Amino acid sequence: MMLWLPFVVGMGVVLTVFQAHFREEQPTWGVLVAIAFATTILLALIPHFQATFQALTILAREASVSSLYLSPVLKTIGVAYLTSFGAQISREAGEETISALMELAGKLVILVIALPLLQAVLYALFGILGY
Amino acid sequence: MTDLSPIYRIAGLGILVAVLNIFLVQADRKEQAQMLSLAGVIIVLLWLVQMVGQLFADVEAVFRW
Repeated sequence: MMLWLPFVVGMGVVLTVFQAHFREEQPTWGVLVAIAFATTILLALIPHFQATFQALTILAREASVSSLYLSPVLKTIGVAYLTSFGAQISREAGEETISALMELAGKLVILVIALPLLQAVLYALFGILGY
Repeated sequence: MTDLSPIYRIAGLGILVAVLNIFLVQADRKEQAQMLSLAGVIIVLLWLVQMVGQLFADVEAVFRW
């Protein structure tokens, strides 16, 4: 079941050698190969993520955790993966500005996702304090 | 098993473009050589945009609960 791991690592090592060549000769192709590898590996990992999160969801349901609390966590993880995917590729190509902006957008989205939780915490606090 | 065919496809196109590039440069056609490299890069970029779009859709489906 976990046979894809040595496959991914081996492919990564081989592509690292190619990248060392590309970076000097043709940087554009180096970036393209990096994007292709990252996308392929992430696409291959998606079903495993799905299985893990389904198990997590079942666990949460048995512990009767409200979806209000689990859903932001899962969404935040997804946003973080996507953001780091784009930001890492830009940063590796030497585009610090673009990667910083991608991370800014990701942070904003995560903040928006976390807003209802913050609201709930604050209301609970106000309830205790008696406002 | 992981589907690595896009990587092989991109590597193949890259090698083809590099070889043709060398020919064109040797034949003193620098302009065409540059255009050829640009065309290759754009073709690969279009493939990759499709793949990344699929990745985004999958991530959205998995992490939405």
